[in-house]
Amino acid sequence: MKNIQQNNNANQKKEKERIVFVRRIPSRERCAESGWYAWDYLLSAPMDQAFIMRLKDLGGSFVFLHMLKKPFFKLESDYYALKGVLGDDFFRVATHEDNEVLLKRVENFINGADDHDHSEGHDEA
Amino acid sequence: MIYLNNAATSYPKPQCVQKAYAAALAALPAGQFRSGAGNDGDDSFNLCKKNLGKLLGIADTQRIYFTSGATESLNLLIRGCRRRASQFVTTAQDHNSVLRPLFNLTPGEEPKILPCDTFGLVHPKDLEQLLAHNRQSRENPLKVLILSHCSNVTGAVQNIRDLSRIAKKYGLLVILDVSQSAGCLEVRADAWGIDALAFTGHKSLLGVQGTGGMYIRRGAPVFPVKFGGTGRDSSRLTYPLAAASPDSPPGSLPYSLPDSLSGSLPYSLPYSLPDSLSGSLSDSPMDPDLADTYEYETGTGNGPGIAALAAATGWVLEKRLSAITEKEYACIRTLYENLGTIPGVKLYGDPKHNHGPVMSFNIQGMKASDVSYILQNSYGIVTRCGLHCAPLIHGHIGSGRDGTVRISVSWFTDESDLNALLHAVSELSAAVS
Repeated sequence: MKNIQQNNNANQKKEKERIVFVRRIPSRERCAESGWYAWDYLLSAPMDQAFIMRLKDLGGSFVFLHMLKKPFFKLESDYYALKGVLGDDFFRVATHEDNEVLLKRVENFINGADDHDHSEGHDEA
Repeated sequence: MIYLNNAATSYPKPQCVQKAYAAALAALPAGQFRSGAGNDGDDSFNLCKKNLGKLLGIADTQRIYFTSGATESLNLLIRGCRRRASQFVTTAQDHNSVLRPLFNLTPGEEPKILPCDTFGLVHPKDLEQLLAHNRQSRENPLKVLILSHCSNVTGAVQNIRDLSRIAKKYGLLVILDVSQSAGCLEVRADAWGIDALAFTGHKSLLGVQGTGGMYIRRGAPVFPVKFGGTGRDSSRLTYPLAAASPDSPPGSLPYSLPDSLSGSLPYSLPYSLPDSLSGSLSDSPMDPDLADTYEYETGTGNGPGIAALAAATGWVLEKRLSAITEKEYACIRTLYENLGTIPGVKLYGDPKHNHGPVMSFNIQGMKASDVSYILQNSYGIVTRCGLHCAPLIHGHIGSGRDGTVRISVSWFTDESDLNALLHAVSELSAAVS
């Protein structure tokens, strides 16, 4: 009984802490991405390392500069780039074309993310 | 937040500017010739023009006209020349507010582009060569030189005195864009023989966004293209546009194309004259008395904005332009000297060749957009990245299609801001090396 209670508490805590996608807005710095379409994805809470590491599963080359004042990550493929900073409640998504399917995929990925814990170990630049 | 993006718009503004804007909103509005109320507001227009005259080296301050900013001014000046695009010369270091109006002026035609060197400097000998060749060839004769005084990418300050002298030798009109230099570098419009000039209020002049203007030398053949209420002589509907010419019907408005041309264009271009008309109207010297009847300041001006600009220009004059230039150059020199020692940092200029309050760099192995993102979101330092609305210069300075990270300082930038930037760039460069 005690174990079931403890498990329930742990699960509730995880649900409480889960970061979800709130909405996207045209990036405040569209011009920065040199012709790519850029959006800012607003989140329900500041990103933690676990959240950032989960994003790797979207695919692409991943860079995490953990030694900076606030660590920076970037996930990049030929068609999109995600970038953000640990502790911010948003990150940027840039796409090569106005690709609604891809943008939606990122949204769904965030909201339907699994519970696989990536907090131990990380890839570095 | 450390703000190093003053070339985009300056921040902060002096207290007096904020107060002047608020006071103008609270006071009776400036009449702008439309009422007798708000005399203080009208005085602020004239005061502002007098201040601008001192800062831009213009004696005839009544030939300064307020607009919404440099972009509007440049569009009005370019179209007011009533020339085809191929009759303009501009430079590779110029901003899209010069390039786009030119490239969209005449279908199928482009202006001549003078190259710049790796520092962003345009060489007078290149202009001499271009104009001499044009004179000897059968090409469309070049009629207007239009360029920016200071590059918004590298801070290169052009030798306007010599460039203007050469242009004048070949009979060109000279139009100068002082968006990046007004308020922080010496501008001597009269001494340099400038025919027209565009300025913005919200950069180094420290005014608010949505203000700016242009100067047109009395007698310069730049015609009005924007018409509307002026608060003067309301019964007048037409303006004689040139001295009488056998090729143009008297009192005609050459803004409608002859039927033979209008049908063939995909969209109407009322500001480009066919050669049969443009030569006769624009080559004729502008009758100065006629020019005095033209009105270039139409519609209702941004009264509170101009009041703020009057306060801002007064503040700049009080601080002394030379002191501002010296302080900002010292900041830029510090950045060049210290960024240059960080491994992996590529600079696009040096203190010997680049004297404006702007500089650009990149970090090897990182895109400019990523560097700028990290500087802002990890370190709280605002910069700008990319092509900076100056697409042509990057092919000359070697920065490529992703552009650069740009730093632009102001009087309010201090040593701690620069140290924070240097520290951040140092950490970033180490992280990717």
